[in-house]
Amino acid sequence: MIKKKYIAALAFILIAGCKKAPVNVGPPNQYSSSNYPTTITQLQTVLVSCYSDLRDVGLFGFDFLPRMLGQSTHVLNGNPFSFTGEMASTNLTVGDGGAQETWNALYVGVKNCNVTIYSAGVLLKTDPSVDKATVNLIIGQAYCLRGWYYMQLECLYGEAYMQASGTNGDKLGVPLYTEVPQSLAATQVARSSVKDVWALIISDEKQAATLLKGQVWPSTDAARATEWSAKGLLGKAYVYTQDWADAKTTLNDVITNSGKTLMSYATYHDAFNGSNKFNSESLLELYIDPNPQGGYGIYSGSVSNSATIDGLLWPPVTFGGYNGSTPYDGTNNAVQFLGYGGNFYIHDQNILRFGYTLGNYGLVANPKYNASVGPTYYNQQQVIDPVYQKAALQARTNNTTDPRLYVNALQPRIDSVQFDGIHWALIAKNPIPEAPVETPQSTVYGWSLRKYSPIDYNIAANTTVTSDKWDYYLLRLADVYLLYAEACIGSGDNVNGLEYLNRVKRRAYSLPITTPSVVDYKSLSDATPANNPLSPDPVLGHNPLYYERWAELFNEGTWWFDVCRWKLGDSEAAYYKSAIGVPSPLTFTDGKSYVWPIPLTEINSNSKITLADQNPGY
Amino acid sequence: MYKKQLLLKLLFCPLLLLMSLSTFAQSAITGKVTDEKGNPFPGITIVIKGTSRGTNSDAYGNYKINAGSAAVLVFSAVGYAKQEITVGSKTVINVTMTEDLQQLNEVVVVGYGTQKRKDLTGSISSVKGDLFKDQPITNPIEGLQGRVAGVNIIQNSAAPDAVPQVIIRGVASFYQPNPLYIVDGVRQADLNNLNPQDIVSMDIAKDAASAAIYGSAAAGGVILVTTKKGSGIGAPPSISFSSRYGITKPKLVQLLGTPDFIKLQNLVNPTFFAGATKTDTLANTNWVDLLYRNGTEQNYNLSVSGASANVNYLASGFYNQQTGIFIKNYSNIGGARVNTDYKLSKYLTIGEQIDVSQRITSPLVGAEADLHNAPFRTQPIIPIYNPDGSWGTEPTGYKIAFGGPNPLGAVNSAGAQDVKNNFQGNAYADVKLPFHLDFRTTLGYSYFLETNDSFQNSYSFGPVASSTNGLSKSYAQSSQLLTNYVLTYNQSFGKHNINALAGYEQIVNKTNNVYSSMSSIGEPGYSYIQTSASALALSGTYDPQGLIKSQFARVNYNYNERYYISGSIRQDANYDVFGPDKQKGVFPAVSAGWTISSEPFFKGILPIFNSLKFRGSYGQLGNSNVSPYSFTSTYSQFNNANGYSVGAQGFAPGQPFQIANTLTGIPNPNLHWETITETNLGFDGEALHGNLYFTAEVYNKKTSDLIYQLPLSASSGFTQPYITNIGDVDNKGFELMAGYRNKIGKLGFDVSGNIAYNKNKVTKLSGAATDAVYGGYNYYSMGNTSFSQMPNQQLTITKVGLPFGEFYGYKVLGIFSNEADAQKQVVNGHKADIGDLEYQDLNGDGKIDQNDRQPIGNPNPKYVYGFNIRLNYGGFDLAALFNGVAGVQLFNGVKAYEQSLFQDGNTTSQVFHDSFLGSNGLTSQPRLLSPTAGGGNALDANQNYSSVNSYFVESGAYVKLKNVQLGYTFSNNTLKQISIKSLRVFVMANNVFTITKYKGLDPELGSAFTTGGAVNPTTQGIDAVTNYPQARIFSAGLDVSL
Repeated sequence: MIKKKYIAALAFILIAGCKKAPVNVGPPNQYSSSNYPTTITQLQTVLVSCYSDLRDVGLFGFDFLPRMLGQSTHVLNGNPFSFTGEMASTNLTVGDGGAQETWNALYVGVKNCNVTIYSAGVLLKTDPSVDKATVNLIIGQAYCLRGWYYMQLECLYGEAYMQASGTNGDKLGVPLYTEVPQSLAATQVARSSVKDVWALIISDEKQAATLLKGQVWPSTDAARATEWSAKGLLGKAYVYTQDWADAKTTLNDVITNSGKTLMSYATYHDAFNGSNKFNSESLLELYIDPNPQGGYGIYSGSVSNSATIDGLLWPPVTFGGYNGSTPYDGTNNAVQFLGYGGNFYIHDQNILRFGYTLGNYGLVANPKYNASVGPTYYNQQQVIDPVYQKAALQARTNNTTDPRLYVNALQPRIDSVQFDGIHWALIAKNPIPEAPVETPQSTVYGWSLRKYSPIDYNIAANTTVTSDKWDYYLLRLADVYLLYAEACIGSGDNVNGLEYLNRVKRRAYSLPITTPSVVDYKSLSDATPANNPLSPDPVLGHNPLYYERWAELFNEGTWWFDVCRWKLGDSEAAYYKSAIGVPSPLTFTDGKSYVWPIPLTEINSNSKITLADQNPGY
Repeated sequence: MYKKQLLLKLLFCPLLLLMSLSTFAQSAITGKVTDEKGNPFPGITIVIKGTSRGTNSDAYGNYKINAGSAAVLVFSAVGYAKQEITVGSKTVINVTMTEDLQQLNEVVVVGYGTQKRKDLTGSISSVKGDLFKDQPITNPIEGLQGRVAGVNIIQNSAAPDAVPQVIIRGVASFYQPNPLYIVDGVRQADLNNLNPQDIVSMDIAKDAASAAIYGSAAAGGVILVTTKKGSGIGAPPSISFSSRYGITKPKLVQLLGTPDFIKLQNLVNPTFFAGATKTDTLANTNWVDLLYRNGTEQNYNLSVSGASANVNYLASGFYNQQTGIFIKNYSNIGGARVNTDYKLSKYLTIGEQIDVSQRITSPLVGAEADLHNAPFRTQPIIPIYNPDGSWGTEPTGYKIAFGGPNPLGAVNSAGAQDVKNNFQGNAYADVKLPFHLDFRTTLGYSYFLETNDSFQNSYSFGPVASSTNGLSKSYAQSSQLLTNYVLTYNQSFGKHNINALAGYEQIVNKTNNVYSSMSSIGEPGYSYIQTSASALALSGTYDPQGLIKSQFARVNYNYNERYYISGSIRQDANYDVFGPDKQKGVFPAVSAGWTISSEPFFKGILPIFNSLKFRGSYGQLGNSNVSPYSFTSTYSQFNNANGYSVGAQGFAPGQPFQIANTLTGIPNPNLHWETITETNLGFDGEALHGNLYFTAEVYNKKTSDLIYQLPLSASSGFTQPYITNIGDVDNKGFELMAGYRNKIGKLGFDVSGNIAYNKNKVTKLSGAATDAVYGGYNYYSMGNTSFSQMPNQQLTITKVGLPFGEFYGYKVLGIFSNEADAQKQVVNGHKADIGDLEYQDLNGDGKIDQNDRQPIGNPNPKYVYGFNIRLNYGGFDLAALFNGVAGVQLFNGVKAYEQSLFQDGNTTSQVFHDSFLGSNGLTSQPRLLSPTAGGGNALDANQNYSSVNSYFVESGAYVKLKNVQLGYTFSNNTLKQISIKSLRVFVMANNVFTITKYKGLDPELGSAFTTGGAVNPTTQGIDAVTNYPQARIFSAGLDVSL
């Protein structure tokens, strides 16, 4: 009896068994770093992260253009929400959330590029038979983008731009990581000198150009970096550091040999709202897909997409729309934003800087008003004064205003948008800042932003699209032309300098690009549209180089770098006068504001950067 | 083999002979056992002393046993004094059992065994299930609140599925582990599904020596739970039923109604309602009343138990239904338990405990539907519905703008059901071996399955809208298979008593889960109906790699039950948390005790003490409460702070997106256990024949190799922290518990109190660039750091020399009453005015900025105490439980919303007491509006309400009457007629009142932003708008036994 029980007990024990200790474990839903990547396909996915990081909230995903560059260059005017106020007053604190977001996103980009280069090395080592040409193209793209990330970092956070003959080269640049940190110690890196950072940027773009040489991507890979992306960025780096000789050679190479041409004005007019992607002028372009895959743009939790949502923040405002099934009444009492309401609209001074001289409109009773229908957005009781309307339209046809105004902005009660993707309705005066009721005679212009903005759908509601539709240009040929012009002027070749400024301008006026025209600048101090009698701009009004870079690349994220390179902070503040929600008149602190602060979070997490290494003024 | 059997026979033969001899000259003894009230007492164990022969009293208290005249009958029952009666010439022996006042003989569950309380050398406190079985709780942990010195239970929410936080002897780690829960010898992740009424007792091992037998799992202390067993051999089954029903009343903040709201806006934003004449036609919506309600709590419990000579059994079932105080929120749990022991032979006992339960919860979900204890981001002028029936939006024609949702609409636009299924089963076999050895093996299996369906409908609340709906469904299962084998040796040689054990334990953990979502589904509900617009997302993991292997041993020795010494050791190997060579940890402990009251000299000196024991212990524990695989680095899909949107990228129109992978972090192969080393000294005693009882102890607990998530430099590009061992923490304290019980006439009483003091200090934190760790935000909506009254500002600091999570901000010296003084203070470029807070300028640079922040309050309570009163008089019983803390500060983040105006929302009437608001002069509240040069007003230019400063730090000391209960037990005579053994009815109130100077809703606050009872050491004591409010519960119920 006893024996039987013992046997039963022993059997019970054996049921449980004893599990063998595992040797090497890792998370089963991830790839182990010890044996990845093993194929080119896997390596390609590592490269993808170098591109997709460009859509981070701190970059083109959401905040960078509207809240940071848009505010600090006064492209936009709007609610000082969180760090936006600091940007609008160009007076940042060390804890500025925007400066921190962008710093983080750019360094994640650098890290992703470094990981790509590192894992390409791992693959080449573990599988010597791998297709080396393809691996080289992958490494080349990583270098091209790493150079871009570092150039943004240096221009935003470096203590000063390097100037001709290495001036400022010994000042503090940004920390450099040329490979993936493999230990805690390797994550503690001091700021490099300005000249070392630029040397790395230049070397990265040169390597990229070499590795990508001759590669022509099929249309299915249109957004990938090319030899010409790298050379264009290289040329920009030379210009930014006033190496005019190298800049001219490099940029001329791009102009002559890239096969790229300036697009026609008609194409250009529609190249920022979802059409004409990967056009003849595009050198490096961030592909954006309008379908957010069910996610909410860049804030999409577990959903992967190829979306950005800048358009949410700066959408046009229109009279069109319905309250239930009742059409809006066609007054500013009921307007629809094609995104979030109440954030940003185009700063009025920009309208003047583009040369618009007609002031504000008045309203008259609508002679076609049908009282039996009642007031609706398509049957408005009051309409724009027809005399004013005629003059405003003539300003367009006669090109007495810079045509690029109409690429960049939508005029209230003259321009229309498709608010629901189908129906057209007039643009309403933007009710920001504090006047929901339309005050046509007031000094507030209240135009809507058009470039990179939803003009034929509502990005926020009532449609399934909740992403931007358009791509973002990281580099396009017009920029290269203007950089080339700058390099020519910098090296004393004013003739070619003027010619390339005029080529960009001629395109804007729908004129043959290489033929001298009536709109040509006659000299480097000729009057520009910014010399508008309503608000003459003492700086851009007589500086075609400055004006063309501002007007041509408006809201594309480059003007801030020009302001800082050329030290235009004071004159810009004086020109824009005020911004919503920040102390006026606008001022600029020369000893501080050309450089963003090294974020506090970096100082708190990097023992090699102390408060003493902070940029001046912070 | 043959030899062994022979040996066995030789050993057993004399024993059998002895037993047969003792059957000579026996006569039948009968009798009746009653309790103090004269009621029959069934189930009393009656044993002939020195033998294993015995019986039990039957349902009528009667018993019958054969015994010789020299035999001594021992009558015993848990909780009653043992009685020994020599048979002599008697044939009828009637016995009245009296409650045992001496706790020293009670059995305490220790790791892998039991000990008598008087033999303990470590620090173990016990709480009987009877004490809390009728409290309105579904989690037994709540029953410990206020009852055990050094065990701080925080119940900071009235959410129906809230899990209390447990901190035993202070916070000791950034990865503060929950206590280890051992239920009937098998470890469990939590007690969330355990029916409180199934519990006999809970024993809490507080010091390292008591817990060290559980090694690496015991760093948070060990709570050993014993569930009920059937008893009463031969008696008919005992049936018990209990039920209670209660109303839950929330404690809420009220916001301004429309007239006051407009009055305030006319002061703050005069343009909003300028010239408006018809404001009396505006809505006056009370959003608080719309979102909150009275909840209910009801509980039903039924159990059947019994025993025969070879089997005892208990089967019980319960159902608890709670509706939350927030609309649409509820949680219901039902479960059943079967406990059985089979004595198969004299040498072999087997048994099992099976526990199943299911909890169904409707949690708060939904875009824009975040819970706020007051919905500050609402406006009373917004109607519930617009005239066309859509959700109410901002009335037009005013210059005021509202960018938020309609909160009622938001709650009603989403729904969720969460189902937690729990199975816990264990079986054991216990074999008595020769040579005083006992072998026991246990096999425990637990299985947990949680399914969650969460539906978000499309919605439109004016400025906030989504035209698409979405559904997410998840299925997450986990299982644990535990096996252990324990060999115990128990023997006495004269006055030498030895108890020793050795064992092996293995725990295999597996998880398997899938998370899915689909947007734009065809029909609202919890089923996927795909449409052309649908987007799908899936993720899931199967991980069978969780494995812990352990060996352990313990020796307890005492001489004459007077001198005690004990030692234990355990080695654990954890295979998925630590990397190669770092998996194993060894955790030793020693302890000793001296029962001085047994010394002959003592009785002469201090006869008043019937017992007094000194004890001391030393031990080490490990903590590995970090996510598995923290030591590795991997390639995984690229994500950033905002999710996986960047986890893919398109490269041309019409082309499929390509997945983005990247390296996620830096590996740390050196990551290893946190070690907790603790010494404990204490004494236990009883005096006045056990009427007075007390325990006191002092401890020193040091955590070394503290594991910490070191944030890597932002420039490294790694956003995942580096998990590494970098610090030390000390917790030192003492604990006192004392009680007095007696009976004066018909009035029986037992009053006891306990208090614990703890001091928490970080003594080392190296490796971080600034050697400081920041935590906590004054959130308006969970996780949104920028949309807050104190945007992007962290509230706490943890660094060397300070306790965990000390509040960190500007120190307020007072409110300026003199313009000249005020103008010297510059905050963010703005000069202060009269009525602004005066901050201490730490570095004396004339401006107040982040360099002037300093520690401004400690959220770790110095004292945690409890006080219990239990009275009975005739059929009446009264129990009151008080608990409290002292020496603690709280951060009243809600005050920043209550006394100012948050964004486009609302506030409370407190705002009208702000300095210089309207016709106010200088008051005790700082000003909200600052005069500007142009004659206007700037909002909070001095950052009185928008910076982290000590104006918001308040004392969090409180005393609460946690539970008071009045019962009446009907007398036996009445009940006999309806064949009921006993009937008790009771009424009770929970969370009755709080005595505190704290101005917020309730000073009982846990860690912010944690779930499941987890403790976050850096976010303690933060009162934020996101907290689920507390509530009072008023209940009535009954207990019946058949």
